[in-house]
Amino acid sequence: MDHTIERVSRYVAGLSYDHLTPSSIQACKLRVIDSLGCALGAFAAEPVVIARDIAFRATAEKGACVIGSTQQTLPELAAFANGVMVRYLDGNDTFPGGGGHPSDVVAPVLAVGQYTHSDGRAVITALAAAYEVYQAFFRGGIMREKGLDHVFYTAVASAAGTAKLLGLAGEQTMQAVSLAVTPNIALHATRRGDLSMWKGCAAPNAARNGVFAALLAQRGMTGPEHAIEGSHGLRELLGKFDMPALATPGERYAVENSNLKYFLSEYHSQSPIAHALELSREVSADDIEQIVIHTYWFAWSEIGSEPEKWHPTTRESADHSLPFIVAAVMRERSFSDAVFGEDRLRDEAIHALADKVVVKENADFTRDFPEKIRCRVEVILNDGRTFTRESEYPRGHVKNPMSEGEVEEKFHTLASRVLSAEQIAESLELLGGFQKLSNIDPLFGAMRIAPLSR
Amino acid sequence: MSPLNAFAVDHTVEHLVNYAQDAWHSTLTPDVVHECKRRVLDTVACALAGRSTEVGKLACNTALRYSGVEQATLWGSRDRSSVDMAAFANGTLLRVLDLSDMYRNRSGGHPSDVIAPIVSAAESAGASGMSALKAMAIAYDVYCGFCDDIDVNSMGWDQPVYGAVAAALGVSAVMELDAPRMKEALSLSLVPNMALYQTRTGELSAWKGCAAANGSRNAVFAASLARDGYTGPQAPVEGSMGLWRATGRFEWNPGGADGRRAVCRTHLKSFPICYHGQSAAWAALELQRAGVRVPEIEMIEIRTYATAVKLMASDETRWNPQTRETADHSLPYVVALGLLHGEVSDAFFEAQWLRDADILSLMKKVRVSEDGEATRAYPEVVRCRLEVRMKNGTTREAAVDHPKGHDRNPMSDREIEDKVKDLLGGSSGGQRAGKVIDAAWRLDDTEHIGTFVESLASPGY
Repeated sequence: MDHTIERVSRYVAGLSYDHLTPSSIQACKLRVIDSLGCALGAFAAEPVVIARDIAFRATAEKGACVIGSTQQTLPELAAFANGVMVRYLDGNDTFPGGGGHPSDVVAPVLAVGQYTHSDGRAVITALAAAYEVYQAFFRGGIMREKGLDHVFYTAVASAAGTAKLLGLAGEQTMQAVSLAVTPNIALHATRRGDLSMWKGCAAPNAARNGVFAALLAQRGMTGPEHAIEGSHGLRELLGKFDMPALATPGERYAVENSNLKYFLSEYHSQSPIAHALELSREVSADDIEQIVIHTYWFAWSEIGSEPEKWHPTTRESADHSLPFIVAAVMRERSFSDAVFGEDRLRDEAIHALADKVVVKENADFTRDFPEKIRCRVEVILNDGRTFTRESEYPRGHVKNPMSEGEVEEKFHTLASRVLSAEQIAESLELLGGFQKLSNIDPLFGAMRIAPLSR
Repeated sequence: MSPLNAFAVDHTVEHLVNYAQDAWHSTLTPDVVHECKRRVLDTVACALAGRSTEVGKLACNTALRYSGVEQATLWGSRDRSSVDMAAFANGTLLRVLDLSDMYRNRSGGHPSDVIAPIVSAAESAGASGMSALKAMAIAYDVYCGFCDDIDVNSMGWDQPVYGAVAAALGVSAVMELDAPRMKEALSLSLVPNMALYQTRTGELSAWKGCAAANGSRNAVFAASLARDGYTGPQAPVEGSMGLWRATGRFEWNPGGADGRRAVCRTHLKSFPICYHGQSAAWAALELQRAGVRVPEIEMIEIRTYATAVKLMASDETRWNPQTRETADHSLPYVVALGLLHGEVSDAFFEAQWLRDADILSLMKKVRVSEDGEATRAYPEVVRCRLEVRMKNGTTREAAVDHPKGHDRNPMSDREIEDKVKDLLGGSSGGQRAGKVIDAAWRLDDTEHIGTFVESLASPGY
């Protein structure tokens, strides 16, 4: 078997709760809270409704819950439906620079954690393992550079984390990882052009396949021997793949490295939104001649270069459209994910202001990325006056972290769309004591949304 | 679509979906119907025989965790699972013995892989036998058209890249999806299923027989998502980060250059081994029948085309196979079997034979080299020349250009029936084979394909 796969698999099989530091355990808990908040906030969205229907078409006596219900389905379908919920609002955490959203592993880990009746500590350990594998694969090779999608990391990390919950030993974990690596390369087309529903569903689909890989390995399936290092393996495809060291007991674990999002929007729009909010209180949108957003190449390429970004026609495009988002914030002097609603997509005043937005790549900012997430917004008025805001780390970045209270507040805001105050309090209490849970069923009981017909 | 997005129109997607829609709304000619039925019969027989393998059992057991609505049958049983899991289990069964049909031009693979997802989806949808055959012909055209147009295997991409798209279009057809939904299904089946060719190099694992079935599972899932309202990436082939970015630009033309539907052109196999060993196996059998005695062999020279060398004699694993999957992709093993036993059958790939001293010592006498002329003549000709030098200094030769089952040397209906009887004869006798054969020939008159699937159940169920 591949050295890389062997190394990562033995690591995962050997990781124990006792290895984790208090700060890494806390980081796991905050990311579960953050992800579930995002999931509850997206409960009524169309792709979520479809995913839930698909999950409920299968039944399992011993399975996993779809968030909002206590009815059980197959763990891979719960991973898919819950993953679509977590991801749909684009509010979950991120590894900037092509690393996608590592909390896409939360849904599969919870689903298999429930399926295996694992306790809170086991789920936290599996989550830490999944984040570690996710970061290692991302640092090992950047899929995006070859026109491929980051959801590959989700598939591999989901397989590794859930293999741990299934109790697989090193040898079987290797098979699970190989079976996740080989068939789950995805095209970056998902993130180009006018964006489709698949933007929020590609990673959950990868998680579904990652769980399937682990379940196959559990039953004795064997995967290719050298999926990474062999002829026609991953390394050959990417040109290079060098997996970095994995955290050892007491060290800082990968789960502490992901950046949370303060705003429910694409990560590279976080600082521009914060700046636009402040600037909108100083100027009137009607007086604006031009808005110049100075950013790094990655942000320019992802959310500020294609013509669709000025006039998005779908929610998925709008939340990846820097000019549109900044124009909307300047107009409304506030930000919530309501700016991606149908009414705003048709709002001519926003579109007119978007036409005045210019996005420029700044070479210094590009050089400092992804260590720094630099951004400068200049608003130039008709009378020639200019107002400027600049920052290096958006709120939620590892270097400018959100407090536990802020994460809970985000959860509260999103969960209140579907849960009562009592349910929110109960959920937060269970989540706060996650490591003490003997199984995670009560969590799904607390988040039950009534009436949920299906 | 607003003018701003006009650049994002994906002509390949339009072309494939228009082709599929036109074909779905046309009538199959009798000869195409017949070729479809021959391949369904050949394929289901492989699948039913595959039920006794470890990997086949594993795939079925994985599928059996399911219950729910929208079900399809695991062939050979009365067990039911979700349609995507049935596609996985049936897809694994039909492939596991490596005896299903084959097509290779620039890229290659096993087009009959599409039969599992299409028949399973058709069963769940209550479609007719003729609908399933029509969808199958579409999927074959898409699959083989891709293989005609570009070599992605040498770039490191495996069969699911095109197999999942072909299956998704066939499944979309039996689901009666309209053109817009079918485009989404195509996109949703292509974008996440780029699989690595590593599956087919080095020591081979169980995944060799399951990789395509996994693509079929995801193709059914993609078509279901599209049916239920999901939208996929707009420009999955031609967009700046689409398939072309990974493979280079090419035209994907479904259907063949000579006007024959692809389903009429794929090659059927006689031996449960990689297609590129079929000629070698026939040549070895010919020499064995001509009286070549193994103890008197000094040396065996195999000269064949580059693809056969690459897939079946690329490295030392092919002279010392540790798994069944490697052995059935080893030219030395296959030729040794033929010369020693006069037979290249499934039983000789079980674990004890992989350690058989006679086979291993004969394999040591095998040399494989590329024959430049054979490489140039390929894929129209799949030549293997076997030269056996005897200890007394004489030489015996055999050469095969088109093994039985090749498009240029087709199996008769009777020969396919004999293959089915061979495959099903072992456990439950000829009666069962007869039942399956009759049901397959009646497929175009079968009102509900479920009736056909029911006829596959073994008497034990």
